[in-house]
Amino acid sequence: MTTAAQGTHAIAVPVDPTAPLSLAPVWHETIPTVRADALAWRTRELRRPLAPGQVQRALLATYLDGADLILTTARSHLDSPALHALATAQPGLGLSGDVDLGPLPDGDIDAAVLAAVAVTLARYDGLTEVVLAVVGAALETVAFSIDDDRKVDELFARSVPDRRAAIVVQLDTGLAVGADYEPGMVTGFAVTVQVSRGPGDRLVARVRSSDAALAEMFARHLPTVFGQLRTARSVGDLQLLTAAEEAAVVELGAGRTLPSLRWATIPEAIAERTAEHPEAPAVSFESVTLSYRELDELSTRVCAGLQARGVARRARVGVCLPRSAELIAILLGILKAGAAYVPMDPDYPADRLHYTADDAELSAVVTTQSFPGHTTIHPHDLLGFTQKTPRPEFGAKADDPAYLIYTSGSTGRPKGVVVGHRSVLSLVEATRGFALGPGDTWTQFHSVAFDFSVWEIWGCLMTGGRLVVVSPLTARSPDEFFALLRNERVTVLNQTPTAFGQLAGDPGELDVRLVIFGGESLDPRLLLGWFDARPESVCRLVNMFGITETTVHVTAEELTRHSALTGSRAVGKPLPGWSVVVRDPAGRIVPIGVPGEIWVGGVGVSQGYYCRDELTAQRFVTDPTGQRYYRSGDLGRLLPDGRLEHLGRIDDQVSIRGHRVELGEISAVLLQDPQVTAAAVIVAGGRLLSFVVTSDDPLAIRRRAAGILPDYMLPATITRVDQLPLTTNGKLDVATLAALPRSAPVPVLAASDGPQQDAVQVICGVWSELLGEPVEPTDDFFELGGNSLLATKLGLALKAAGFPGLPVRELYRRPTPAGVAGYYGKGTADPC
Amino acid sequence: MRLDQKVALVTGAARGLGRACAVALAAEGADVVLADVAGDVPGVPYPLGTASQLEHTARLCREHGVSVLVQQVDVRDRVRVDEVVAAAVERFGHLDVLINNAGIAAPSGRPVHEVTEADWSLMLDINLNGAWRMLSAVAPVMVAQRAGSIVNISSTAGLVGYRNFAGYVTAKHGLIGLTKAAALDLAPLKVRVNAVCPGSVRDSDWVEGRMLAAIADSLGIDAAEHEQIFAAEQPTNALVEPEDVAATTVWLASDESRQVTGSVVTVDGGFSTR
Repeated sequence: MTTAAQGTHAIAVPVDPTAPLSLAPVWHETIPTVRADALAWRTRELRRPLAPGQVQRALLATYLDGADLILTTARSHLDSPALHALATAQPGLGLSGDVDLGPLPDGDIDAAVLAAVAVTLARYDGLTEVVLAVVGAALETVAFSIDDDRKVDELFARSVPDRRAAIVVQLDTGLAVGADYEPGMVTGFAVTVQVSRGPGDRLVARVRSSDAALAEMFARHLPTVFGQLRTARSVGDLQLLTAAEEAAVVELGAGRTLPSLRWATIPEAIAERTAEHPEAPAVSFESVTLSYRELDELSTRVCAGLQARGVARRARVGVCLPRSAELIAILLGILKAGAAYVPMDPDYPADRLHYTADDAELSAVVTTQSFPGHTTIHPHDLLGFTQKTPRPEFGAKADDPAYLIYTSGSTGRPKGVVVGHRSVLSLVEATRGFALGPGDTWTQFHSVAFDFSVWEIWGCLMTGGRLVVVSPLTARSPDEFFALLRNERVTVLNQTPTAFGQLAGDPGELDVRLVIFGGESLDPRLLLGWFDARPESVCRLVNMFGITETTVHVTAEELTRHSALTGSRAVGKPLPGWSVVVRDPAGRIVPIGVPGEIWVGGVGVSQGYYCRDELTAQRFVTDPTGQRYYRSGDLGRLLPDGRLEHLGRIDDQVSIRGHRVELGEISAVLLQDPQVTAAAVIVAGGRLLSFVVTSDDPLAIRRRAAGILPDYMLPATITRVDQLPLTTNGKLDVATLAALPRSAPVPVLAASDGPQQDAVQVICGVWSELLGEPVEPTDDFFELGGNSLLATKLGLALKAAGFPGLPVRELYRRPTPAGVAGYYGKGTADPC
Repeated sequence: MRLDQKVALVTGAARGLGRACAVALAAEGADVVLADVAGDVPGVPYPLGTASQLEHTARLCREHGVSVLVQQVDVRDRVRVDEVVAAAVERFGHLDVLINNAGIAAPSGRPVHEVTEADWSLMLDINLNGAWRMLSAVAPVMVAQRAGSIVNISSTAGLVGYRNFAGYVTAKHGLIGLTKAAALDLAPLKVRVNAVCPGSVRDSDWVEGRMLAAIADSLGIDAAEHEQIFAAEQPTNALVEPEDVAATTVWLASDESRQVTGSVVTVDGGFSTR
């Protein structure tokens, strides 16, 4: 091995990912020394074609005296301490510069450095085990087990020769760098951390990565962690972020301050609107329209009727009625009485309704159904109540609950979220930017049992708009709903992305000026067709991430053609008054860009779950500064510009066509079936699939489950298995389950007119053949694995089956068999 | 910034080459006037650029810090054409560059004797007459300034023939003739006129291109393979990128090409050389 001045040596490094990591020399060649244009020359050398056999040149070191491409391995091969196994990174790759790690610590310096790197890396990726490659006295791969409860001293490296590391640490802690050489990046690793001695007997680190942001982050956090190693009691106590950095992250995720609210309660806000334009239309349903004055009168009657029956302030009143304009009056009447409304969908199974009434400890239920054990009030008795007027002092106060909405519970039974007036008022105040007003017409598309309707109803009425209540049948028919949007000249449309995608008609014909997406994640690429027909200058599209527990919405992201072209998954910045912070499982704030659990703070955080103190204490937490947060269970990360990116769920909660569903609730219900000994529920292709161990007929099990679960929570298939497959860790083997052949799905659509259903079924059959699996009328083509190529094939297959042509653009607009049937025109399939 | 202080008018700017040219001009500091029909034209069998796409082009241009004026215009409509030029002058005070890019690729696909009167007229009216209308509306402004550069986007179809493409080929050849005649008329008045002949330009994602797909469709070429088929016909074995054409128009727009007029610049990977 010659010294630097005489030339450079190339040594090949095998890069078989399965081979144990070792930089032992494989071959050896001498490369002429550098000429004037060092960097270009070095680059050219690096790019020289490789010999076959997966051999890679590793640029490891550069010498200030002019030599450069030295590729070497273990230090024992070097004849001077100036020669090392690191390379100079090329300009443009991440350099951190020198990072001061502080004075030389006592004890084993190398071990301390490695421990600090391991903990830093663990915090970035939420790892409990970190693997590092170490170039020191020897070359080895080591692993650290990261356990928050253990002491820092107990962090030790164990050799793991058969593993690969993403990060390499070059330990030159006995050397002073800079005098003899410029250490650089070791190729084959995402990050190189090189530690050596600096002036004044201090440790200096250099971080190199092709990801400049990552290098910068590492360089910032490594000294923070390193400096705490001696004083931290346990690994969990080590803080990645300085107090200043934490404050900056919290600041970044905080929405603007909300101006103070003009009203204390929902009825007060609506009363102001009523005074402004009493004759303006407030609520329409089919042929019935109530003006603001009429709504006011009716709801006052309801309030008086409730008070006459002893409904007191802060009571809870159930509402189980089909949709109508009068239903809105009843809800408002309950609010006026100072009580909270507990909405129940009349289509739910009786078991679920009675459970809700019991659990919420309802004072009464406004309904035409029977609720054993509860006082029921017929709606007509309230709407027609003409005796004494309500006493204002019985009315609600700002922090009184306005509604309890029940959401799926992971242990098998739903739980009620208590939301106060103040939160709802804050929501309307926070969305001033939408310029909502009396000129707007909204739809109430969603059931009152879902909190999207809270926004639809009260957002509309508190801003003086006209609310068009949509019947469930119309909501389920893309054609009819489109016609309603057009005929009623709706301007504000709230939809889940799934429902929006099924809209059947030319957006150019509508008056919609604002579309708000919520309830599930949105793929903005599917919006291009809409933009072409209705540009952003005419109609705003806003994606909002939200949770029931934090009052419907948390963040808002304005969507543009740019979002659609890039497929951005950002959900935007928090609304004024709301805030988000991303934390790791131990509750520590994570750096910007690092994924973790989204905690939501601010005025929208609700009061908790009704009569679930333990669960409420678990999910609604107060941080050391006294701020109250809701732990969402959603995965996300903060982007440097303050927008939030949503990355999915931490647990088994899923979104089925916009409905929030805990898989655990479904499997718990199945397990309650006396004939079922084991049950598992997974989601595949947007559908719920269940697997049961049973001797009974799956259809019978499904029938029994249908008596308990609402239709959107009923699994599409119930497949019998001998036993549930488990992974080697003893967990449910979801992958194996997903690959099992399933029983045929049971159609879940309510029966409508015969010819429409026939066409839909035929279309399902065509799809099924193309995609190779059972297809339901509401299945999304692209979620089942379709793409634009298959879309063309689908069009041809449908033609062959006797249907008219299906332009791909139409398939993007209505990607379900039901939607396609609608496009063909009421599904009367006249073969062409 | 090779076009600092200049104002450029680009037709067909919603997407494709028009978007690429507009953004390239903006990147060099030119304020831009973006014109497009922004809607479908009866008789043209594929969807044309939309208002949303035109707005997106505007957004991309504004990212370069220049001012943008957006105008909806059908180049068959003389009145609208004059209005657009007037609006541009009112907004910016002058007009230095015209990129005559608006054009359709279809209706095509029939042998010359089977082309209908309507299809023939449509193709020529948009692709040739449209460029002439724009040019003659802009020229007086440039003549008054004694400065200006007009670039007509022709095609290799303006240099050689293609089967089943007679209307398009005629219009694109006509553009070359227009270029040369106009160059002579305007040269003494210090206004330059040149043509660019792109070959097969890839329908790249960021410009939301569609031309190549539309041509393939009308010629009955398999959609999944048309890129490979077209690329194989270029001596360079690759399709032209929209940026390649845009870079050429930037050069022709700038003073670097001050002695270039009546020229035809071919950007076609060598296709028409053989």
